[in-house]
Amino acid sequence: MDREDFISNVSNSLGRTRLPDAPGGSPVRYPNLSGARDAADGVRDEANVRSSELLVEAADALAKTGWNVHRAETMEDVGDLIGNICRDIGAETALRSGHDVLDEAGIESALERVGVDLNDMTLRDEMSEDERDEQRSDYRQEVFKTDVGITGGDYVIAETGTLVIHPKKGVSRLISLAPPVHIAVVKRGQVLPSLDELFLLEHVDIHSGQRHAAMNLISGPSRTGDIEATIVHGIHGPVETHIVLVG
Amino acid sequence: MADVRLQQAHEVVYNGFHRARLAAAGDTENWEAQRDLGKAIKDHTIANLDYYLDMLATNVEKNGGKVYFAHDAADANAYVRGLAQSNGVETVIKSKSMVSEEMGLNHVLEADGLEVVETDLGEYIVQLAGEAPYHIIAPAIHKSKEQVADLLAKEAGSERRETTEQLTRQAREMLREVFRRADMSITGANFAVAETGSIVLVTNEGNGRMATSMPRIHVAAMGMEKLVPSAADLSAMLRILIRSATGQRISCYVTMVNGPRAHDEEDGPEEFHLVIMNNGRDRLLRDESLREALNCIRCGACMNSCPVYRKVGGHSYGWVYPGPIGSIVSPVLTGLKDGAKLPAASSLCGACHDACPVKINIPRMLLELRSQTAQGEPDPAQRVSGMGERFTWKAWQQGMMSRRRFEAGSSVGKFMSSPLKKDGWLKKAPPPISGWTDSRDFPAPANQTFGKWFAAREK
Repeated sequence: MDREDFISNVSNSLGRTRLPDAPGGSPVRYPNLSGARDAADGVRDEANVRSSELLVEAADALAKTGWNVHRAETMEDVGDLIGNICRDIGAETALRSGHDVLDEAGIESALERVGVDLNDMTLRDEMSEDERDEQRSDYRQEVFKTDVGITGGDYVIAETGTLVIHPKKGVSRLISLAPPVHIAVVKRGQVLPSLDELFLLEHVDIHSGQRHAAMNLISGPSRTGDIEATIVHGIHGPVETHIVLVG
Repeated sequence: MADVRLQQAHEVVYNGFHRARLAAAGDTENWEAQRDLGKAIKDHTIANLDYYLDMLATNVEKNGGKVYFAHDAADANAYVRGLAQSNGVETVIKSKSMVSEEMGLNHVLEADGLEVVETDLGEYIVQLAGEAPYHIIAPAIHKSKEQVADLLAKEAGSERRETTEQLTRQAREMLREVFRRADMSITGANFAVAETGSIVLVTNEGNGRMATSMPRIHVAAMGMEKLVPSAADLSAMLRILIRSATGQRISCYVTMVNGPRAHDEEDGPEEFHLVIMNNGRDRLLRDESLREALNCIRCGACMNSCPVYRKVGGHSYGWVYPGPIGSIVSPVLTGLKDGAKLPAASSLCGACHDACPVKINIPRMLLELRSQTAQGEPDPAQRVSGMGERFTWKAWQQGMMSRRRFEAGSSVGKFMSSPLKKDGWLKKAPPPISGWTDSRDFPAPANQTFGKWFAAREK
């Protein structure tokens, strides 16, 4: 059906003859963008000022949603921690995202020490479109075979025990979904108090032209209760999820 | 009701979801304020639905997606069908979507020879069994573990697995094979966001994420009421939806899709299509006394709290949306005649109104629909009450309004029924009273009318 006809029928059903230029009544949340921007600045400040407290709250909530929570004092500790997790689960292969925090943690050498074969299949700028498609198709094969997916993250939500990842160049959607184990690393200062702050930042960022194609909120391992209401982990996503909180 | 397994399933729904919801509500700071916020957001959106739908379409297109506005289910099906044909699609994966159930999309695509596979485990089980979903949050709650084991073993041609864990692993592998070969995914949308041109998917299993990662084409289908103005609205909406649905603080996955993948991403769909469907929702919009039904966010809380639903179960309602809200939405969307009895199948106890996260006054609307049904549609084809019924009630009204006519009627009733009377009961009576006496006794009129007894007592 034609878009104009569809919408004009909606207008008529609401008792008006044409599409209004502005909504009647004020939107409920952040009716103007400048107010939202100020509030977003406040949120970013708070995430830094209250970072220690938020990290503690987050650790608690993440554990409740089923994450295995690991605390690391320094970046040097992170590599060893990830190496230990991989060794404990008997991983042979791992796939990493392009998040910088993994380089800071030196996971390449840490995984080499425990004998895990680490793969980086990020698309590179110099690749032609054909080469990219070939790489994408290889990636789809590999990501279902690998034992562990290792990523960074954009935020952690203390209210709900949630890791937030925007898929983008170097950060695939499947790396945190297809392998049976997902390990994520986030730093102090990346924790937001609640979903309110996350969606306020998203609202402001998208209006400022910082739009990603998608955003995933991940709260522990994949689960189902569809057979006799018994909870089982790992139906479509990971069976086990680990998060390393740094700082 | 005699099926013990089903009654147990209903108890699981009640104990599991209903109590979990109550616990989650108690556990949430300012729960009432969150409900008020949710209601205010939906009221504002629906009052400006034309404005926000136009904005949504503009922004989806700006993000590189395509929008199709469908007047009804046939229109929506034709679009998806055309899309599948022009892209040479052979396998379609579905992530749970009530709107696609409403469209009857699976049958349409299957008739074209396409493989259509549901990926929510409960929906997959129900699909293998050739049945309809039993509950909007727990579609296969009526199936036992043994029944599931048989269905999966038969489909896979494998040995029968035993434990819930083994069965889940088996389904994981079976469905991963399907994800790998699927060309197109079809999902619903728990919310759409007008200002950002996004849709939001809420799942625990991760099938919504697979559907937005694997196939080349992603199609999301939504009812035209399912949007909010801005991304900032999502925190309150997700909070009340998820806590009311399963009692979780958040589901394992929430995915916000803002269009097709960027050119430099490793995975994600190349095409994103949003199908926005009316299918009779304008009838709810036009009627101010029923407009509130469009605030529904499909959490299932009204069903889990409903004493009638808990006894009769989801299949009894006869259409896609069961339970209290379904008793409003179904008759109006399908035209009042088909589902006219649904609004009467309620005791108006008000549990659904208390449970609704956006405070929809369901009992008020059920009464409104009963009244509309009784008064009849101006269009005779849509009219539910027949000539006979309306004449009877008219005669009743006349009889009750005059003392003389009432007394005359009482005497006639007493006289007519006296030959049928046995031990103070009518065991058998001619039509239309036989409709009652076929299955139970009808109390016989007293020997003396109350009027006569009262007059005699005065003396």
